[in-house]
Amino acid sequence: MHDTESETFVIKTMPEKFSDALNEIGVSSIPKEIATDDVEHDDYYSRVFSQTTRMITNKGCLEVKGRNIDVIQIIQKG
Amino acid sequence: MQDPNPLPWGAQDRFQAHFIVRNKVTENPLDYTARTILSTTGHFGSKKVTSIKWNGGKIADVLNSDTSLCEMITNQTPNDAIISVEPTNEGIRIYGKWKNSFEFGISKELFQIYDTVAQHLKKFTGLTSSSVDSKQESEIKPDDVKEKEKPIKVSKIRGAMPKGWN
Repeated sequence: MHDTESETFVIKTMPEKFSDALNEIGVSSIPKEIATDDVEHDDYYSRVFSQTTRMITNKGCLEVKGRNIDVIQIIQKG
Repeated sequence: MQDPNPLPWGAQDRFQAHFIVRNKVTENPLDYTARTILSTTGHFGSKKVTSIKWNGGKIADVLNSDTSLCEMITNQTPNDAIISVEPTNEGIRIYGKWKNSFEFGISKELFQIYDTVAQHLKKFTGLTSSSVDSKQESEIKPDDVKEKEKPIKVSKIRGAMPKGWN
């Protein structure tokens, strides 16, 4: 009996996965190496709003092309 | 046997995508802060958004004036309709709620919403900076030219911005 899932799979980072999702909706983007963008080296929240998360893990960035959004950063709670 | 009292530390299965416009806010950061407030009907699974309103600084008025944007957000689920805009030192961030790894993704409509908000942010920052520049230019005298060349000190954005934050 064989499983429907493939025995081999490609390990992808979160920005790569998100880039694929964006590609499906017709938005071109390039995933970047982690900790290479300026936005990753500073505060992720301004703390203007109350109850924003304190402990955050940076998962990387992706550069968006031809849109008003310049860069997308993926973060994880905790 | 599984630990009945697991320790509550470590990264959680909650993800968030921040859509960033690389505009550095040198003026009042509260002007660039906004969040949607929803009006809904129903409960739990049948909960639907009936209307939304942007609440916050000056940018909230700009976003409220775009009726097509408000309509697009109204068509989203209650979770996706909660959108926040806030400035940080490296850019203005637009983001929604935390999602688990199964839900984490992006639809065409939701990306269109974020892109439209980013467009308004770019226009808004452009307008305010140009109006400030024109004001400053009219007030500059020939003796003040050297002073103009000095780098402007910009304070870092932290906390809830009390009076006289800069």
